[in-house]
Amino acid sequence: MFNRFTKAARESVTAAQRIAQQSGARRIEPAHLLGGVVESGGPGGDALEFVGLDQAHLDDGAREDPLDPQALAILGIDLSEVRGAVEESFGEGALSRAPRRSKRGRVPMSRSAKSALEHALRNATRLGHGWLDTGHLVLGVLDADDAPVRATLALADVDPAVLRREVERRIAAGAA
Amino acid sequence: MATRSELTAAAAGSDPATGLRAVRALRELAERLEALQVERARDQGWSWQQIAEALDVSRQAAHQKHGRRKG
Repeated sequence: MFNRFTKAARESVTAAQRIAQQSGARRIEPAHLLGGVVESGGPGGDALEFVGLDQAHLDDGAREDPLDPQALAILGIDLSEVRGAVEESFGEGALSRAPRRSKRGRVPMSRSAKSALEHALRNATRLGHGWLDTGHLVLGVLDADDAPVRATLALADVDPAVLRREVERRIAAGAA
Repeated sequence: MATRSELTAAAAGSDPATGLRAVRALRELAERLEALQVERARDQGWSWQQIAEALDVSRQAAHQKHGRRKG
């Protein structure tokens, strides 16, 4: 499967693995793949940059830690304020005490990340491409329709249809 | 970046992904606050029965959830 990946696409998957590990995730998720694409560039990375989706949004969406300031802001809760009050009473870092996670060496692909890669291949085939680039990866993630990715896009104010169009345009330009 | 009112609309509106993410974050926050407060109550000599009543759960539930935890 990976032999037809472009260098940037391969780097995206490697970066996704690293991002997942660093965030303490149990699995590589589609949002980690997008993070890898942001790092590695290519048509997919350019399109993500164009619509304004950066690592900060993705960190937030892919993060294993569900104590999520953006999501709490939706409910009108200012996490930094809560954190300040709690730390005053319980000491520094009191709220950061997350349940302990095992530090694993390699992080496997989640089911939806695998599905994103399958959809990426399908997109390459549909477009008649014998290679798989970061643009196909982004299309694959969009087609996998992962809920956290949908939420991340919504919070970053990115319309999936617009992102798709920007990716397709760059793929077409690159293949011409 | 979406404005606060747009986000609120998203949370209360049609996209379950955003709304559920907010619910999950709220639950996580509640869990951590509960752990901190229970620990403090125990340090101050509260019985499991008293803690359970304050949380409106059974004594067993409170003990099972927080009894093995220390630090």
